[in-house]
Amino acid sequence: MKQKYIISLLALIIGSGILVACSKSNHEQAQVKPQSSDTINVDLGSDVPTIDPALTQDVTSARVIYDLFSPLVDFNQNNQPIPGIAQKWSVSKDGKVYTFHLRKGLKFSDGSPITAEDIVFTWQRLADPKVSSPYNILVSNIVNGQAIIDGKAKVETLGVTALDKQTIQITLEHPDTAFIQICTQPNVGIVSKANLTKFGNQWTNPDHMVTSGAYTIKEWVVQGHMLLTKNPNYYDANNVKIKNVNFLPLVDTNASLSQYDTNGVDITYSIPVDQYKDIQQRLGKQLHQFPLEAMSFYDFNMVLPQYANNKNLRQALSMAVDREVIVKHILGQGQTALYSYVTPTIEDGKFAGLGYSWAKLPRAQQLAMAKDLFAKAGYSESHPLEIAISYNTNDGNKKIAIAAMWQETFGTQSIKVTQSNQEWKTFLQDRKKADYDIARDGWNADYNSVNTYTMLYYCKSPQNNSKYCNYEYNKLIDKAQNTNNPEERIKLIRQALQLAQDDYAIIPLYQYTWHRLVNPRVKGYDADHNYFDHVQSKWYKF
Amino acid sequence: MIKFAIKRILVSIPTLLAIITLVFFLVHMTPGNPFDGERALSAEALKSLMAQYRLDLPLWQQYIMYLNDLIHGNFGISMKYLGQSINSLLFPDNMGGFWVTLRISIYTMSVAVPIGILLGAYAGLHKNSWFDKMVVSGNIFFTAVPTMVTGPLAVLIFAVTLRVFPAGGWGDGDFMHLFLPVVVLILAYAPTIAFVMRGSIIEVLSSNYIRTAKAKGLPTKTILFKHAIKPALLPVISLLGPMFAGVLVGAVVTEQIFTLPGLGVLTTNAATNRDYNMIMAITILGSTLTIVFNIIVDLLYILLDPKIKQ
Repeated sequence: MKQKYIISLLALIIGSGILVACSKSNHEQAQVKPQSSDTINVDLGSDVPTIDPALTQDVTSARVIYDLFSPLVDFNQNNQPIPGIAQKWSVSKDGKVYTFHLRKGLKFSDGSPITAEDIVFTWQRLADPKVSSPYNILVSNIVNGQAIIDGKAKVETLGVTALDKQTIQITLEHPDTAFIQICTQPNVGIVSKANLTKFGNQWTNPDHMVTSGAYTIKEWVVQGHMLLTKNPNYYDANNVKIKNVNFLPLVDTNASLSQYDTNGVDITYSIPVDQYKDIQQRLGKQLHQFPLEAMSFYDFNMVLPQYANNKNLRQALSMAVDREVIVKHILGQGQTALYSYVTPTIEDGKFAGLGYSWAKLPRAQQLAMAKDLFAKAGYSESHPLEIAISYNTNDGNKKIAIAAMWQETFGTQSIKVTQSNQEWKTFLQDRKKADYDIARDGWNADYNSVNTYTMLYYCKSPQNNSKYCNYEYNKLIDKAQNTNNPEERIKLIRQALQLAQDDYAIIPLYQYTWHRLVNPRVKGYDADHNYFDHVQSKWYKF
Repeated sequence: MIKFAIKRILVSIPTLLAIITLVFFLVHMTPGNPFDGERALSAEALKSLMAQYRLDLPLWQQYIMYLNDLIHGNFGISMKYLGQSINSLLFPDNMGGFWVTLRISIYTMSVAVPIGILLGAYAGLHKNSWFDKMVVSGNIFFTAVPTMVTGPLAVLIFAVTLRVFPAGGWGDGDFMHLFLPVVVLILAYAPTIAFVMRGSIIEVLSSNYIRTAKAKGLPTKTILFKHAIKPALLPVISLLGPMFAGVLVGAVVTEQIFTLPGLGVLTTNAATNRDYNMIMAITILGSTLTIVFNIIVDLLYILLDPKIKQ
């Protein structure tokens, strides 16, 4: 009797619990979502920190901003500039003055006209120190740009002017063949002056936001989803095929894969790398692989005399790292070993073939040279080298392998390696302050110009984490920047890079590879050749 | 009782203030800056950002201004989601942040508590029966196998293989989307409740006054419901307060696995990004909830146990 009583009470409570859970929901047999024909679900890999073009500095925000804000110059899937808000442009003979002619009848998503004034406002905003753009470097070569960034000139003096309602003129300090690439960047996506003035820093609220791109924002649940819907006022709206884009911030790649398998996501951001082989086997052509315009390397701390004054040591350590083993056996996902200070793919291969000449020698010979240099550097069993590798938690097994390679080459008694694992922000701060021996580093090129790499080795550049400084290098780079002759520029930059490379301030390791799953129903997106992974939703079709 | 409640609330204010002070200084002492990134900011831009967030002022001044904002119910502006207020991130108008976690926690607890109590009580009454052994081993099993394991396993079985439920996401907070995460959380919490309840029932049943009741010849039903249940519930209730607060701020792993836009993900992001204001807000929210639940537990105790009233 007692048992019956308790069991029936139990059943009642479980039942009511389930009813409570159901009561607030609209639970038509949802099951696995059927794919909607007007909405594409795209995983961004992480949450969007900002949708303000001037404030963005991460790839996630950039991905969304490409959809929301059109810059002066658009780009295609091969990362080539094509007409955008500006229908055409011309460059003066000295390469310093760019004149852009706007399309007729341009409108923001609220129907208000896009004027030359909005464009000037967009560029000035990027330079304005009060806005604190992390990418204000993009305007540093525009007349007065650097002075404005440094707070020494007024924002209005920036060399971006409206000649009339349809024409914009941008004047540079030095000629820059990459300037048109800068005009495609998400940071210069055109914003509405009226809208920003009206709403102040609340302008990015989806209820207020006015956009100039192919899409406009409808909903944004932070960490949840961001729903974009087609902007009917976009100049090329007829060619925007998919009505809604639903962005998801799936940080966990396993969760992303599960969602992909159950049609919750059409395009993943990445894949769980430990399942690479399995996914390749199971999903075949749905898995896309492309080299990313980005490099992985380690910095020597050139502030410390034991590294700064000992080139033999730096070269020995660099040579002892077996990059082929790292890319083939430790990472094994299609990365390419790197022996130069820029990737061979940048500017469509204009800087390929730089690399170290010893890279072509047989490995045994490389090791013999390395050992010889190590001895010349003054280290041996009686005078061992003590060195610390600083890295952040995501660095995987690479640093273990590098430490092992050094010890194998030079002997465990001659080199003692400690590894210092740091949390990301702490690591960044220490690296910036040059508080390390050897530190992990990496760089994603922003646009298809070698300039995005050359500043990594430029004296006093904030991006120069090794604090390497060779004024000869700076001179060559400056000279290249001031020339208007493309061949001369390439020659000078190659010369500079060769110089820096032979100074061994960093240990280049490999060029990154990226992986992405794309549902076969998605057409029109070339996921195999977009080295910069700059993607726009307007390319997608079903 | 009202007097007691007021006293408890008054005592909790200095506790909260101490927590706020401690966390404020600890957070600001952590190495790393919210605005450090792979790309270094220009000096002027950094200066202007530091000024916007008052980080250029001496720490004590920042502290006083922070307390002042707090009194006005303002948690400040996020340093990760630039320009967005913490209030709107934690308590958004649409579904998200705290509301997501609150809903999941209520569903979880409203199922886990009755199930846990009943299973525990039944197991305790039939000590050493097969049912009792199942409850005990179930508790050991689910304590040893955390949500980090049950979550992905549930996704694999019910979403990827059987395709009965979606693999994750919030949907519109509908039944299908919430079923798996809630079940996973119930599995994490119900066994503990059952285990405590079981132990407590066993202890109560072996106490002298129950033996007296039995000796007096009272029927089992009367003994159980009039004399045993109430005292046996006390340890469970004291467990529930911190547990509920824990679900509210601690479902980090479950939220990550099922990609729910709740507090958990906000918390981890805030810590890794040094979003000072967000860390502070979440800590204050967590401590307030813990204090509030503890007060509720104390009040329930008084209702159930007249000894404490004195």
